[in-house]
Amino acid sequence: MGRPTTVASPGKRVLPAVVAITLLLPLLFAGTALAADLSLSSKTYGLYYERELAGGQKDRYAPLYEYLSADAANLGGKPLSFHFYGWGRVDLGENSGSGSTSGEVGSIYLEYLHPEGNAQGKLGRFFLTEGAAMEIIDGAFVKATTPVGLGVSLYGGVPVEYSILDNTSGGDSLFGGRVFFVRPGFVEIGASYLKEDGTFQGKNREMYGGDLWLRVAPSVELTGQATYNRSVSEMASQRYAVRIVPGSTVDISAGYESYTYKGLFQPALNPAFVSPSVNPGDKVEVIFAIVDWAFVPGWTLEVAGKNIRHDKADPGDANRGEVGLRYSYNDKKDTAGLSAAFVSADLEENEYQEYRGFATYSPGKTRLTLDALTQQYKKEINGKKDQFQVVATAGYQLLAALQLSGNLTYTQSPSFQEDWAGLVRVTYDFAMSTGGKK
Amino acid sequence: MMRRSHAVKILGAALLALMFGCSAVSKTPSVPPKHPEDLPQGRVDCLECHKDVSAGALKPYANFRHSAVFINSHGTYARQGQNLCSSCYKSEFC
Repeated sequence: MGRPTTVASPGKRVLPAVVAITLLLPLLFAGTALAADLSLSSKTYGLYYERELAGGQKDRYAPLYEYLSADAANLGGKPLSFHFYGWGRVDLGENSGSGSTSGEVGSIYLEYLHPEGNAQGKLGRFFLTEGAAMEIIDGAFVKATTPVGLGVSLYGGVPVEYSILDNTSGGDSLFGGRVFFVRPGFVEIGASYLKEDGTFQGKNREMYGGDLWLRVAPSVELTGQATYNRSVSEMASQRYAVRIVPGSTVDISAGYESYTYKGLFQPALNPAFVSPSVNPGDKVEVIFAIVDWAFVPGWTLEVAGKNIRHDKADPGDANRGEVGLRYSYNDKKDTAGLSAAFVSADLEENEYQEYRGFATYSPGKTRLTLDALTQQYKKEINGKKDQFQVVATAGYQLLAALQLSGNLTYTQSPSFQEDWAGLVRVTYDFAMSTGGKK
Repeated sequence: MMRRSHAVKILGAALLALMFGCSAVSKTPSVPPKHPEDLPQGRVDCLECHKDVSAGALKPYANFRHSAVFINSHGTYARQGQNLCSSCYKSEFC
C-alpha cells in the first residue's frame, strides 16, 4: 500500500545534489556518452471540467499537465542506464490545486543491471519496493544473489515525502535491507528491515518484514508477507494466499490479509490517513477469493468475493461479491466487458450495487472506447440513491511517434449535480539508438 | 546528522561489496532491462511466448500472466524484486 503524497517536498533540499550527481556520473564512463539507446516520452494533457455542486455553485477549471520521461540505456554498450520522469501543471483557468502551478521530479537515477544474477545498483531518486520497503528515496540501492541462492539488498538515503499538514514533515533519513534465499522455480524467502528517522507521531519508524513464495506442487503456490512496526508495537500488514494455476486458462487464489491503521499509517502525512479521519485503533481483516477462467479463447470469466471486517463499529463490516465477463477481439487489440458487484454491509450507507460495461474499437489508426459505470445505493447520499458516469474516448495515430486523443466524461453523483469533463491528449514517443547495443 | 552519517557508511560498504562481489554473483541470467518486443495493448499473457521459469524473477511465467488474480496480488511479487515489472512498466506508475 503506497504512502499518501502531495506536492511540497522536504526532499527538494537534496534534489539539486541528486540531479547533479546523476547527470555528471555518466561522464566518468569515458566514451559512453555517444553510445546509447535513447527514448523520450511526452504526454501533454489539456483538461477542462466544470462542476455544478449541490448548492448550485458552478466551478470551471482548465489545468494543463505535462508528463515527461526520458531514458538512455546501454550507455557505452554497458548494462548502465539513465532514467528520468517528472510532471508539471499550469492552470489556465481557476486554480485546480494549491496555487496555479505544481510539479515534481518523480525519479532521476542511474541504474546498473548486471547480466547475471540480477545484481544491480541504483543511484539517484527512485521508487523502491523491497521487502518491508515501499518508498521513494534520494539515495542508493544495491542487490546481488550468490551462486548458492543466498542474496542481499541494501538501500539508504533521504526519503522523498510530502506533507500538507501543518508542522509536519517527512523523515530525515532512511535505510534498510533484505536477506533472502532463492531456488529458481521452487522457493524464495526473505527477511527485511527498514528504519526511518523522523518524528512520525513523535517516533522514528522501524519495520521488520518477512516474505515467502513457495511452489508446493507444479500448479500450486503459497505466498506470504508480513511487516511488523516495532515503533508502535503493531503488525502493520499481513497477507497470506494460496494460488492454483493448473494451466494457461485457469487462475484461482484465496487468502487472508490484514492491516492496522496504527502500524501501517504511522508515517502518514496526509489528513485522510490520520486521526480523526481514521481511527488509529482500527484493524482491518479481509478474507478473499478470486477466479479467472478463460473458458473459451477470447472469453474470460472473473468471479471474486471478499469479506471485510473492522475492529471498530463505525466503518462496519461488509461483503462484496462480483462477477465479470470479458471478450477480446480484433486480434486482441480490443476488449469488451460487463461486470456486476453487490455489497452488503453492517451499515446501510455502505451497501450498494455496481454495474459496468465497456468496449473498445480500433480500426486502423483510430481507437474508440466507451465505458459506463453506475452504482445504486441502498440509502440516499445527499438526497441521491444512485450515480453514473460515462466516458467516451477517441484517438488517432497521426505519425508513428505522435498520437492525438481526447476524452469526454459525464457524471451525476451525490457530490456533483452534473459534472462534465473534457480532455485533449497529445502523446509523443520517440526512440533512437546511437550505438548503445553491442 | 550522526544517523545520516551512519546511513552513508552503510551505503558505502554496500557499493564496495557490489563492486568487488560481481564475480561472486549467481550465473542465472538476469531479466533484460527492457522487453525485447513491444507488447500489445490490454492484459498481457506471458504464456503466449514463454514457458517454464522466468529468468531473473525465478518464478514460473504462469504467475505473471495478467489475470485478475495477478493484478490483485502483484505487489506480493514486486516486494521480492522489481526487475521483471521494470522491463515493461515504469515504476513511477506503481
